[in-house]
Amino acid sequence: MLLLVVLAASAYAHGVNVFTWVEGDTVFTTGKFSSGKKAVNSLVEVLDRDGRVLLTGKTDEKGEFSFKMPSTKPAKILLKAGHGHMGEWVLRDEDVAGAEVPESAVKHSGEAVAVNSQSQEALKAEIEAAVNNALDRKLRPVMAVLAELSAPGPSISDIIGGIGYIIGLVGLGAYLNSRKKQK
Amino acid sequence: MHISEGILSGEVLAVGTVLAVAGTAIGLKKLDYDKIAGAGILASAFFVASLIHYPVGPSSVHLIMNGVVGLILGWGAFPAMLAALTLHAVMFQYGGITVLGVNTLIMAVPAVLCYGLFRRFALKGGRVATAAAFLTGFCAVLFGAVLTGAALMFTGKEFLEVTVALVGSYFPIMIIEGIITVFCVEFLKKVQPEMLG
Repeated sequence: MLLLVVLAASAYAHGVNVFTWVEGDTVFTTGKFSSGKKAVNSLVEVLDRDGRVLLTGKTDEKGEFSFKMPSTKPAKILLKAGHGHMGEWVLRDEDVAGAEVPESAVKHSGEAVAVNSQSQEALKAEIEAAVNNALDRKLRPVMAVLAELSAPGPSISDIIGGIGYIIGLVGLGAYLNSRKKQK
Repeated sequence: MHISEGILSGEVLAVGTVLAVAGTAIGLKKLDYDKIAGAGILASAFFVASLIHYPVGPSSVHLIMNGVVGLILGWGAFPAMLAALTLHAVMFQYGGITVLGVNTLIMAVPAVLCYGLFRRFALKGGRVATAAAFLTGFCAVLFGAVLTGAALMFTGKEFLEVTVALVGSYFPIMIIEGIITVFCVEFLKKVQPEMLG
């Protein structure tokens, strides 16, 4: 029986949560079930603002999927985990905007910096690119923690609150019923 | 077995909602004064059962309890499940508001079916009652898996393929639910026989 449970893996979860972030020109997506299990081997669909599918892929054994930023900006990411489970993540414009790497930075890197207005520009771009890179590197663990935190399971207070709602409904039912009896 | 928002087609959602409303209306009619408190307790049990995951090996399992709910409440399972599933959808985004009808049917129809099929035998004594109680827990999950497969079929998935996969993955739960239902029925018979009444 234990073996069967092991085989069963992902089927017991209720919902699947998606978390997406942009790092340089790459978009990272992770999927996690509400039970805390990673959404492995799930279909990922990347849509643009009009709902057209830009690209599709599958999550790896860590529940992650990454892709290079396509020329059309993605707006929504769907993750389909089978058995009727689906999660989505909406990418805002400002998330996507950070992904653009200034072209001049790549072109001019490594060249000697002369003191004229053009290389001033190049220097600025180069610094910007370097800062972007460093920030991406530093933020990576933070994003991983955020991905973990983005979909917490139900807490005790949630559960007690839910039971409270049901007790309230019982009270309402009993009240309506007793009014009916009195009539 | 909560189907997520945005998977099913509009027709399936509409049919599911209409049927769930009808079932809930019948259920509310049949829930008389004496049964309301019981319905609330069972709705709470159902609400909590699927939130608490017990780790088993590298995976985790949770109870569903729709067999027990059906056995005790009959048609009253509809309003009880609807209340619990609404809370699931609103508080935890399990399922969703538009899918509420379909998800209620997936849980409540097996409950009512098991009530009709096994209740008579579960009320008897001895081996027959034990077998009937086990089958209630077992079949309630099984029928739920089949209904999920049927709902997904209308969105272009292969019915048999999805259902076989679902039944396969829920098989351990069916066994566990069967055993738990046997204990519940035995316990109620001793302590509160009028609840099964």
